[in-house]
Amino acid sequence: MGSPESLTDTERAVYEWQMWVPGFGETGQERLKASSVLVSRCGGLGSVVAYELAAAGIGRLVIAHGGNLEPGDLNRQLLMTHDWLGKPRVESAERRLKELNPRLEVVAVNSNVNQHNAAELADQVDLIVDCAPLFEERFLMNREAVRRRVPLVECAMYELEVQLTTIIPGRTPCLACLHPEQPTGWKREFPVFGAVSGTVGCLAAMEAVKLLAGFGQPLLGELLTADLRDMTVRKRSLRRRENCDVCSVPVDPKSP
Amino acid sequence: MQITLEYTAQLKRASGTADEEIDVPEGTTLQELLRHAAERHGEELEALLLRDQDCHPSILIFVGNDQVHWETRRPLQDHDRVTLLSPISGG
Repeated sequence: MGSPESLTDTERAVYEWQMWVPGFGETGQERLKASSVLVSRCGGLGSVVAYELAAAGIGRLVIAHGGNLEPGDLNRQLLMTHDWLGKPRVESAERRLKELNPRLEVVAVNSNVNQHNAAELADQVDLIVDCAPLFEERFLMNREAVRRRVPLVECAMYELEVQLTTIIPGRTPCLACLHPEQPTGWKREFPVFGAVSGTVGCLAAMEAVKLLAGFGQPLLGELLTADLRDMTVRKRSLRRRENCDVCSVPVDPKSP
Repeated sequence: MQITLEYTAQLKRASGTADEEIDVPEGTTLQELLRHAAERHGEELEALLLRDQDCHPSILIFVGNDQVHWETRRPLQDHDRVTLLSPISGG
């Protein structure tokens, strides 16, 4: 995170209402302004994460999402617009974010996280919010986050269910502690309402804001689960794995 | 003793239920409970839940609100609520 910068008069006016939140204030807002966040994929979940962080006044957003916009994206990917069908998703996302917050610096990467770009992407941010629909991408991001000691908000949904936890490398269980092997039967296409991915997106954005600004109690070593079918919400405690391949061994951030 | 077994996401879909009450003998272990559940609900659930009669490592198990690793030998208590959490990655 860069050094907190003083707010301009415009920023004070825009963020006045959230600076009234106890524990946050102008100091918290200055910390957000100095922060950089990577959102891995801006689909149904990541769109809302990025939009909320842009609204909250994060200084710099790196958004990574490959491919062109398809009709089936438009029920949930709220940074995408109908006029952009057939064009790169990440361009629509960048445009919408800048419309909301023209002060925001956006680094738009027209690619999903992969083994070639994961380290470079993780290197340039203070925090990562992982919204990828494939476990391969999530495991890569987890490994790079652990290597670089970058906090990682893990959020996911399926049908009407959501899961959310916040990983602080070295302190909490990492994603590989929870799922040491590739899950069986997970498919890239999954049943989804935009309101469900949006719900967990808002929760994940709030985790990021709390961590960066230094207030509240993030979900460290805890998993929040919610089933929106009957509105059951639970918070459960998680355990590290002593033999975790990713976080229980000393890591060299420079190793490939 | 009576145990509540709760399924989430794909496990819920495969078992056809969000939760169920199961009567088991005193001293039943978590491992026995899961194998019993897989046998009771058939191949689709078994394929997601078990590998060589052990719980697939990607499944999260909770007793109450506390995560329990499969390898932990833990006798169940009457009225325990066991949750099997299916890994999800929808974005």
